[in-house]
Amino acid sequence: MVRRTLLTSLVLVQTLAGSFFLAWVLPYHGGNLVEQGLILLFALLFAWISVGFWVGLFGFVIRRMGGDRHSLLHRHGPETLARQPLARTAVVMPIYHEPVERSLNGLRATYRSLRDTGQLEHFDFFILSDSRDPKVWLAEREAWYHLCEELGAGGRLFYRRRRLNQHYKSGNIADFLRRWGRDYRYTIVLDADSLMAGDTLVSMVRLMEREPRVGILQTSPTIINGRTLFARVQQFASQVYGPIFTSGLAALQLGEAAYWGHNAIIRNSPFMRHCGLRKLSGFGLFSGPISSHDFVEAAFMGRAGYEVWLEPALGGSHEESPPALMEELNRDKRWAKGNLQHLWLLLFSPRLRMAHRIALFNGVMSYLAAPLWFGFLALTTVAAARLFLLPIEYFSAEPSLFPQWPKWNPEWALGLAATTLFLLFFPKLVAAVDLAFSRRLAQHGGALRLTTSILIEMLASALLAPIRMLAHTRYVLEALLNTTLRWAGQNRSHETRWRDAFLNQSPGTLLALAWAGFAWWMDPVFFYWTLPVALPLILAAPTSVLLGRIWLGQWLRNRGLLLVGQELRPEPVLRELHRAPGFPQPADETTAFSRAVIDPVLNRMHRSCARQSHRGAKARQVRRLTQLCLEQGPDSFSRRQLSLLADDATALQHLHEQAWCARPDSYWGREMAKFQGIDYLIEPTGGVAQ
Amino acid sequence: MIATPGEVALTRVLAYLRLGRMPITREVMIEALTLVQEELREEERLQPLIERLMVRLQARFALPNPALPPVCPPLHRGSIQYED
Repeated sequence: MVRRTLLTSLVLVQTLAGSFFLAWVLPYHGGNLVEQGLILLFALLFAWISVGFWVGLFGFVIRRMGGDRHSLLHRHGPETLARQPLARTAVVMPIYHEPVERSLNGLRATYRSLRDTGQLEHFDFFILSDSRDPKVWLAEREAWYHLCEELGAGGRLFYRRRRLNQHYKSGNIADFLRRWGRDYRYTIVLDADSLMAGDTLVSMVRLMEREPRVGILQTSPTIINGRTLFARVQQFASQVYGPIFTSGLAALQLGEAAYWGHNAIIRNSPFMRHCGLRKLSGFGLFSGPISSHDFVEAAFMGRAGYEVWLEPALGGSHEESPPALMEELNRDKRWAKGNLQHLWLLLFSPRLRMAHRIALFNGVMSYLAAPLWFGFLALTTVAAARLFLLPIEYFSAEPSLFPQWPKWNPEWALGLAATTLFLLFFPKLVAAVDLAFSRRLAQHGGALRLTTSILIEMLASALLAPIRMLAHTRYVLEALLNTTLRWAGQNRSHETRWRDAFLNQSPGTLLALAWAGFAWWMDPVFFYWTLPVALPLILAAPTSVLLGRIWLGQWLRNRGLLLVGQELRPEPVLRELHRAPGFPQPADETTAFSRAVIDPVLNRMHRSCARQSHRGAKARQVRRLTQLCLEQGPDSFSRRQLSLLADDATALQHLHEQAWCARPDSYWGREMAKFQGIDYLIEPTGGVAQ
Repeated sequence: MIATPGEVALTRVLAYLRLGRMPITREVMIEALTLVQEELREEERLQPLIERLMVRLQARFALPNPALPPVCPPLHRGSIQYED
């Protein structure tokens, strides 16, 4: 309580001081509606960055004091934890059209790491697929089978695919809990790109066993495996600045922390009893299933009287960053909608704890801050236009004997801008000092390289912030209007292509050009003020492309820049991931469906997972499709048609038997040749050409 | 180069055995050749030849048939409850 009161006081005082200062900077000192709007928006945004600033400083102090004495890990020493028996725990990885090899490589490394602890017997693993495309889910199931064979994990590693994927990821987890939740005391939830050390999994279970009032325990995952410059910048920020921010957050939230949806352990029984997510009953955005479930589940767990803890001192918890800006923005689009839905819960859900309401508000602000900033810039432009283009208002609406002389103080404005920059960037320097105290400078290439890396990261942040602001503004508008504003195509390649970047960023670039041009025409001094925002927007396309380049990330890495400790001395679970043997490479150009039909073992495996046979009209449709598939192959089939076949054991068996009898010049004959590595052609005479 | 029906048939038989996780030893190759030889005596046309071979293949060779891992554990249903 003391910590939170202190934080609130500091933020309030700082915000009030900043807002008064702005009022003095403005020409009419808040004497008209535009300026009042500016001050209001400034206060909200200033408070927002002020919270981040103080959380970072709190974290630094806590870390320098040797950690938080209230944290769960401080309560129970290593010896006590080591003696604690474990309980049955499920490790679940929900996936939805993810790159199969990457996801299951992470799961394999986690499995092996856990096996090395000698505690594997207490854990079962579940791959929970929501994938709809049969080419994807057949490949997932095939990879699961190979993984079971390789690890000898049959009966411990399971694969479950929902045929109806209602309520997104939370529905997938709920489906698991309904089916098997009672078999386990805990569930550790992973993301498709999660990687967790076995020791960490074991410690999490032991902590939960020691603390029966804890409903959810969240680790603080660090970003790993960054290859593009964008991902490496995120990775660097996560590993250098992350510790002070998460330590500060954990120290302030204590047992009322948030749940981030993955790399966390949940206590099944109260979770099933109290954390069911009803559809929202409002209008538009505030109706239907909840897209972002994690914060809400933490709030419901808190409401039920259980604690939710963030424990940053638990290492061995990792995730990956999107490789490029466009991928990150695509993800943010979903998150923006989900987080804005929390407004409804925050306002209308009964009996939530205040800390969790604030956490929900925090999530809302993560995206709402963007349109607020946009609004602030728009109002700044309006205020400047009024000053330069309209006649001066010497008398305000209130009666006064004296004229009001507008006075613009750009030097004061510079001071205010400098203060804002200080709030944004000073915690990063504090994080570097923390590294020096922790003797971790060498992990980042030494003091000089670390300083250069921080400057690179700051430059990237400054270039990205306006781009993110504009994109998030659009997402918030889309969400609130419950519509999709068409912008441009998505980048589906690994690296960002120039064409996609220009298409995606052109509206922002044009807007920035128009804005900067207008500012220049109006007043060159105002033009210079627009540059920190306008310039990154004008350069958005090249920024997006260059940050998405792998060679640039590697070039900097080879020069010891943006280095992180995990790259110099990877922990065992990461080494495990990097030396992963990969999955058996299928024959060239074969699809998962072809393999499911042709490969005798895979065919048998897929049949054992499929429905035994459909009935009635569907059975007739399956028979018709089977025949068509034998004659022409599945290339013209829709996703649904292919799913029908791939999920019917009788159809799969029939296809398998007939495909092996196919003529070499038929579709299946040619598919077969891919497996044999030989291509046969039928000669007109009836002979076969090789 | 023109492949004869016998070559196609033998390749198909060996591919099936290999994909069926059977080690292709000398004995297995001889057995496959014998099978193709027997069937070639009965049927020279490619299509019927392959069909006959695929039927006889299963009985002739003991494919490993590795045990399949259980895809899911037995169900133990519970429910998710809603508080508001």
